[in-house]
Amino acid sequence: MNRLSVIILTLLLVFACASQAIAQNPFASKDRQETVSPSHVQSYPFLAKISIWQQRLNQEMADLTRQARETKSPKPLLLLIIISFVYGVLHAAGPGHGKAVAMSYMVSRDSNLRECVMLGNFIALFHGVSGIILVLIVHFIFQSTVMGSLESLTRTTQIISYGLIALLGIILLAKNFYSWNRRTELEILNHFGCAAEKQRRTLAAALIVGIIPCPGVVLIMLFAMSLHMLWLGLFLAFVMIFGMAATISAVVIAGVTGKNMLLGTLEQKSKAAVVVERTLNMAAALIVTILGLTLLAATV
Amino acid sequence: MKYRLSVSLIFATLLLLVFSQTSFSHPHAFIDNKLTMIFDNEGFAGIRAEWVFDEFFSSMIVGDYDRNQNNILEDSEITAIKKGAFDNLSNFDHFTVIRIGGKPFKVKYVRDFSVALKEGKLIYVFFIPCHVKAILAFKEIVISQYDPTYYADMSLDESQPIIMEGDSGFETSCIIAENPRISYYFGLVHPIETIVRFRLKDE
Repeated sequence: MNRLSVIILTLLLVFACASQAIAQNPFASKDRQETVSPSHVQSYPFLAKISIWQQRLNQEMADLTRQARETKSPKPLLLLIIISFVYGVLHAAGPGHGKAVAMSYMVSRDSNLRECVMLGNFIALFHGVSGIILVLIVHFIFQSTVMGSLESLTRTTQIISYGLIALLGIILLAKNFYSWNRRTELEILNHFGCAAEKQRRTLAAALIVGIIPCPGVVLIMLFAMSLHMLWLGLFLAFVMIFGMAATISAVVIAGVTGKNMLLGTLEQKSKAAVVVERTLNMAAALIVTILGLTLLAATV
Repeated sequence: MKYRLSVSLIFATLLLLVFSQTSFSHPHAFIDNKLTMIFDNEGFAGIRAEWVFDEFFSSMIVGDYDRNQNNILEDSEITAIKKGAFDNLSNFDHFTVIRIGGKPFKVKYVRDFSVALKEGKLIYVFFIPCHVKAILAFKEIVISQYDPTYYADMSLDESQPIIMEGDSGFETSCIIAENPRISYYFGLVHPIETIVRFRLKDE
């Protein structure tokens, strides 16, 4: 049964991430990478709902920002902060934002909840700050078109990010493979190094995943700047980052908790538990690699 | 054993949910869409699309192209918008999918493009020629507009999604429905289709 569960899980995951593709800005980019796939049976009303909510919040934020500017009262501002947070939560709940990579990365190594939160928070931070920096540089230094710059910078950072994700996956695979062959419990526990080193690695992983500028943050900044409210834009961008951090962390925690629960159902230190854990680690490392490679292939 | 199976199933479902939508953070633009079905003396002439963009995306385009920052789009700025943020959509059939009598009709070109800026929202208006002569038997045209890449989320305007224009000489009907048999963006979204039927009036 254990093996069966693991096999099912692995197959499902590999199958799920086999269908990666990329879509860039159709208003500016020439590439046409996707076509409509007819007669597909799946339906995810979840995504449609997220889009509707996002659209409403987006409109609400625009109205409130204008109100805040005209009335100068704190009430619309307070509402704006709350909505920006929710917008961040929803924005990260949609496709992308490195959730799958982050989750697989954490599942592939022995990680605790603190590290999950750290990874989620830093991915959101890097993702958002990258967007902020892009807007500021393009607007104040180059004074060129944001849409074009966003397009080219996104592409460059995507190539770097996905390449490094693939590399990270390969390293994880190699490490897991190595420890599997060594077969000593102590080795398995220690092969990812001490706490400080783990922390550094988590940060590096967050940087790799989060370096791509967040278009949501870019748009919030641009909108605020169009009303000559740069500081409010910056502030709301950070509120939104907090929202995104909550979602990404939650997903990573869910993944690691799922893994721990699965292992918890097995007898501690039984042979089966060790096999399942190692298989899960290997599968997750394999998925990081596949995600990196497929995303890279779709971008280049 | 049962517990173990259910835990692993829950875990697998969660993973599937996350991974099935693993791609890129979309949508970024929201378009409120109004379609006018235009008839001429002979039958169906084409569709006039009016796209109202959300204020965030609008502010990006306006920031990029309203060079003198007067919040009015002059002719030269409109030409620049057309070149920089519209013409490329021809690679995507202008997000328009049409079937005439069940057969696909490829949108090769559009005309009469104009841009306006109203209350912070950018509005694109353009005409998609698609001539279908009316006869005594009903003819059916199915139109949907969506961005297959889901960069932009398009939804029909709630108050007045479809307008019929110049159809007095014909017997017409118009239905709006989601088509579950077609999906896009990794099978995550279904298009909303407008089904127009028309024929010559018996006289």
